[in-house]
Parts: sequence; C-alpha cells; structure tokens
Amino acid sequence: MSHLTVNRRGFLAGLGALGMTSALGACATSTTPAPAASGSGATSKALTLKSRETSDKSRKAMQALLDEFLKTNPQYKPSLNTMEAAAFQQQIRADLTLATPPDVLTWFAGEIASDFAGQGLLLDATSVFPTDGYSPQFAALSADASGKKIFIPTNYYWWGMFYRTSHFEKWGVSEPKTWDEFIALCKSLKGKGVSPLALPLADAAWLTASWFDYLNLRINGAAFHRALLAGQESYEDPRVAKVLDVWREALPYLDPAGKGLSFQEGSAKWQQGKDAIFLCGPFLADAMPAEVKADVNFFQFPIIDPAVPVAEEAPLDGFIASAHTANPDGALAFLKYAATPAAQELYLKISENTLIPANGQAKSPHPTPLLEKGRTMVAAAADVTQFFNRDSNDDQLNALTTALVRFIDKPGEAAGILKQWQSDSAKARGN
Amino acid sequence: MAASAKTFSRGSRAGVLSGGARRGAREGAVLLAFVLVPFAVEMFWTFWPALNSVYISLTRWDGISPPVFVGADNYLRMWSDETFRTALRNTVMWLVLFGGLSVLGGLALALLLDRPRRGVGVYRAVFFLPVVFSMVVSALVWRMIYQPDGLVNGLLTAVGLEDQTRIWLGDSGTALYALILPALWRQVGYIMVLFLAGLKTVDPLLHEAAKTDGATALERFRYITLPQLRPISTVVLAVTVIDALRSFDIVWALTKGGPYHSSELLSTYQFSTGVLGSQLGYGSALAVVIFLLTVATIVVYLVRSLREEETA
Repeated sequence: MSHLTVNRRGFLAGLGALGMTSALGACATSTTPAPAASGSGATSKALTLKSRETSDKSRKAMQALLDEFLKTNPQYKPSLNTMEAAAFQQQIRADLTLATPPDVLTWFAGEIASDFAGQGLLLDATSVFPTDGYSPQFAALSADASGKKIFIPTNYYWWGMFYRTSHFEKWGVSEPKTWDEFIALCKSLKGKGVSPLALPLADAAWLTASWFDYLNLRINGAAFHRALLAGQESYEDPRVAKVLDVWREALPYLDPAGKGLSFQEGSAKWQQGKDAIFLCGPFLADAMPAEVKADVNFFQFPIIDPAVPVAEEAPLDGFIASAHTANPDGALAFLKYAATPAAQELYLKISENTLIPANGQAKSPHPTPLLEKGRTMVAAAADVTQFFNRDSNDDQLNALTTALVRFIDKPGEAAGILKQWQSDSAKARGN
Repeated sequence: MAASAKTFSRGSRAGVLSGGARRGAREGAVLLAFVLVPFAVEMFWTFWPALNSVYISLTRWDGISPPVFVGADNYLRMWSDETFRTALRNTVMWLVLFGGLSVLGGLALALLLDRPRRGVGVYRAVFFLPVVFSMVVSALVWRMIYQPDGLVNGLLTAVGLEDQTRIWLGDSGTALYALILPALWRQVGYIMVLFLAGLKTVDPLLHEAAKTDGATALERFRYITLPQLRPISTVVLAVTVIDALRSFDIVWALTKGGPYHSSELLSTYQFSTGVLGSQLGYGSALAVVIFLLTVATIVVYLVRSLREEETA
C-alpha cells in the first residue's frame, strides 16, 4: 500500500484529507463536468468567495471588500472562505468542476486561467469588465483565446534588481542600465569583497525562472518567450542557448552559498549587505523592519539588446468566477465591484501589501517612491509577461528548475541540459 | 459497530435460553459481521481508490478535462525518463544503505545496551529519542547542521579541512547521502528497540551452557543469539523495507528531491508529478510501480522465511 502512504503524506503537506477524497471522488465519478448554470435559471442568493490570501491583514481586507459590496448589493449573502495557498492551488481544479462550486475565487492571469477558460470552467465577465481603467496589456491578459474576459485583475507587482540604497552608497556604486554595466558592477562589488548576486536555491529553486524569463525577454523578446513556453519553440533552439551563454557571464558573481540557503536565509543575507543584489519582487522586503523597507530600492533588469522592445514581468492577481456558479448574477456583480478603483484601493489600504492596484485610475493607498518606480517601469514597458509558471504551468517550471540549477552547477554542459529540458518539457506536455 | 455489539449481546442471551445450535449460528453471523464490516470499509477507503489509481495510470489526465485512455504509454514513458531512472537508482541505493545500515546499527546498539548496566536506560532513551521527534522537526535541525556556514562545515574548518567543506544539501554528489544520515539517525533507534525486545526472549541458560562448553563471544552470537532472533528479524526486515520504500518526509523537507533530481526517490518523484504537478496519469503509474516494488520485496521475503520455518 506504499503508494497510498505517499498520498497520505501528501495530505500532510497541505491537501487536507477531505480535499483529496473529493478529488479522488471526482476522478472516479465525474469525468464529465456538471452543466453550466448560466441560463439554467438558478436563483441562489449565496455568494461564496474563496480566497488564498491567508495573512491576517489580507483576510480582513477581503472581508472588507465583501462588506462594502453588500452595502450596494444587499440582496446577496456573501461569505468568505480562506484556504492556505498551496492547498488552494491544489484544489482549484476540483473546485471548478464541482456541481456547486465556490462562486468567485482569487486567481492570477496567465496560462492556467486560459486553460480553465478553454475548458468552459470560467464565467464570461465581458459584460462587467470596465471599458477604461485597465491598460491594453492588462485587458489582453484578462481575456481568453476568443477575446472573452474571464479574469478581473485587482493588483500586481513587478520584478527588478533589488538593492539597499545605503549599501550602494557605502560601496560607492550606482545603478547600471545595460548588461555590460551590470557585469562591470558585479566585478567591482566582488573586488570590494561583497558577494554581488543573491540566489538562494535550497527551497526556492523556482527563483531561477526569474533570471531565465528576463534574459529571454531581453535577448529574444516577449513573442519568442511566449511561443517557447507554449511549446511552439524548442529549448534546443540556438536562441535559448544564447540565453544561457549570456547568463554564464553572470554566474561567477552568484553567491556560491546560495544553493544551500533557503529563501528566508538568502533574503536575510541580502538585508545584511552580505549579498548586494537580489533579482526578486517587492515581496522580498515584506517582512523586513520599516527602516529597511525605506532603504530598499531596485533597478530595471539591464538592457542586453537595445533593438528588442522592453518587456517586464508584472504578475497580475485578481478574481475569476466559476461557470457552474448557482448565482451568476451575484458573481458578476461582485466582479464588477472588484474592478472599480474604490475596491482596489480599499483592499490595498487594509492589506498593506507592497502591490500596485491594477486599475490605472486607482491610487496606491500607501504610496512610496518604490511603488511609484515600479508602476512607472511597468507602464513604460512595451509588453508584460506574468512569470514562468504563470505563463505556463508548474510541470514546466519543474523542467526549468531541473535544467537551470544543473546549469548553475555545470555551466559547461549547456547543450546536454537544453536537450534534457526540451525532452522533459515535451513529456510534461504529453507529446 | 454499535449494531454488531447489540446483535452480539442479544445473541448470547438467546443462547442461554435456547441452547447450542442457534447460539452457534448467531455467533457465526456476528463473527462474519466483524470480518465483513471492516473489510467493506477497507475496500471502500483503501482498495477502491487504489484500483482507481491503477486505472488512472492507464490514462493521460490533468485533473480537469476528461482523462484520455493511453494504455501502457505511461509505463513505456518511464523507460525513457531519465529522472525516473535516477529516482529508481536512488531508491535502490536508499534501500541498501538506509535499510542495511539501520539493521546493522540497530542490532549493534541493542547488543550493546542489552546487558544491565548503570545508566543503560538513559542511553536507550537517548538513542530512541529521534524516533519521537516529528521528521519535519528533525529536518529543520539537520538543515541547520548542513548549512553552508553550519555545524559540519564549521567543524571541518576548525580541524583544518576547509577544502572538504561543501554545500551538503545543494551538491548533487552529496545530497542523497546527506539525507540518508538523518533518516538513519532516526531509524537506528527504532530498530534497536525491536531487537532489544527480541533479545529479551533469548534464554540466558543457553549462553551459560555455551560458555561452560568454551564458546567464544563471537560463536555464542553466531550460534545462539542470531538463530534465537529469527522471528524478530522477520519483523525488522519487513519494517525496514517498507520504511525505506516509503521514505519521503525527510527528503521532501530538506531537498524536495533536488538539486536537479539528484536526491529524487520514487516517492518524491511521484508526489511532484502526480500531486503537485498536473500529470495524474503518469503520477499514478509511478505510484503503481512503487506499490509493486514494495509488495514484491515483502512477498519474496515472507515466502522465503515461511519456507524456512516449515523446513526448520
């Protein structure tokens, strides 16, 4: 029964026994999705919002959204159901195929949402998507293949090369703009006895994806990046080999202890100035003391080929609604509310996250120079991507981390690594 | 269960009143219920899902869209799957090193701590202590020990072996062995307790007699202790094989099978493809393979030991 034991341990890792039972039940019994409720005259007034935002402040903010929504829509009975993020992610597939699913769910833009939409699991939100307020990039990211809006973005963050202003001043260095300046900066930092680049891999190997995404975007552009992630291009393409070639120049400046450090240990090291630069999102400093937060700064990932239009990673979070909801009117009314600047400001005001409201007409309730810098950078970008696993899926991310961690270890074996990567990627895709 | 208990009490009262034959039939029914009810529960909660995963292993399925029947494709895919081969090799390695060393270590400790001595209880408790800790807690402690500037590297540097320091869990050459050590640290105490219990059943008179006949300590171990331990050894070996093949927590807590699958076991590979990933078909096929491996190892061993018992 060993494989059952494994499953049982899976529960411990965050599934919850009942969750898996329902998933197993679903696999054995309901291979055909329940009929969509839209148009079937369902009349439930209950409105369940299932959220994966578990921090205390975020939970309060989510509840505040529902309370505010109830003021203008007293006919509905909204309730909040919060679940730990990993378990939430695990269960959403089952949730969306249930006959009585949660009505509205927190989710993110990208490939998985498009997949859900392609299988008819998401409610069409075109009618409540605001005509202005969202940038064209964000509006495009909210639509499925046929152009139907299936996602309401509420906030986003960005990725950049984070550093501490006071440390840069102490070392007498400044922000680089191009890749060559960046490498020169790393070299000069190393000369001063500072480890230039933080990349903790012990529990966060997925961080390697940020380097790959940005290098690929800067060298080959967003269109090729998307095609590659969608499986239309091969990882054995010379353009991907070029990405690794360029990255190889930066590898000597990675903190060699990084492969034994957890994300937390790595960020602490960066905070203390033992590592100078961390390619990350603003969540890096979320748990740090206020005086550190005030000292945090970032620069844009350096430009490698000026001919390639600049794309940035700006992972968008927001809401989706289930196509099988028993209360489609209520779900749409809530989505409509969630798209308003007022709702997005309210949420960020209470949650105090370092996030930018997705609706361009909304203002940051706790504005900082850092947030403004992030917003300006994303607004100026010619294209916006989400992040490797958001633009593909977690199986593809697994193939990536295997390849890239090995590359960091054995940069001379690039050709073999790319071959393996292509094969892993294709297998995970099932062809 | 409540219903069966009731039937039983009523049955026995009826027995007192009307005698033998009816009483036997009722008790038979009760006994049958005691067998059938747990069997039905087991069927529903264990075997039925298990059979389901055999079916799922013959499909390609992402958990949402209807599964596509692909026959033995998932099993054929394993042959060309480099990661599967690494995981299989590591699992065999794990079985040999973790299984072998924990049995040898546990037996050695048991022999050492069997004789009554001052403070022997303290020693037994110390060696058994790791079993009591949750594996995830142990993993946290070992993480600190293995850190780049942690205890191991600190000690090596202190005795002048700086060139031997490495990132134990982040190095593809050392990760697997760095995981076996904490797993052993725990298992040895457990095996020790099993053997201690076994040693209590060895008749001291046999040793006395052998000593009088001039047998050395080694001969007494070989010809008295070991044969007397045979029943407990069967249990120990079964437990060890099962524990080795289902090892998961320490690996998942420390490396998640990385770096780049170098410490991947079949169990962690199954978890990351079938449970965390969305390849439920392939994940189920891996689970079936783990199941078959476990059953095969146990059956081979049990059949052998039963046969030995018969001939003995």
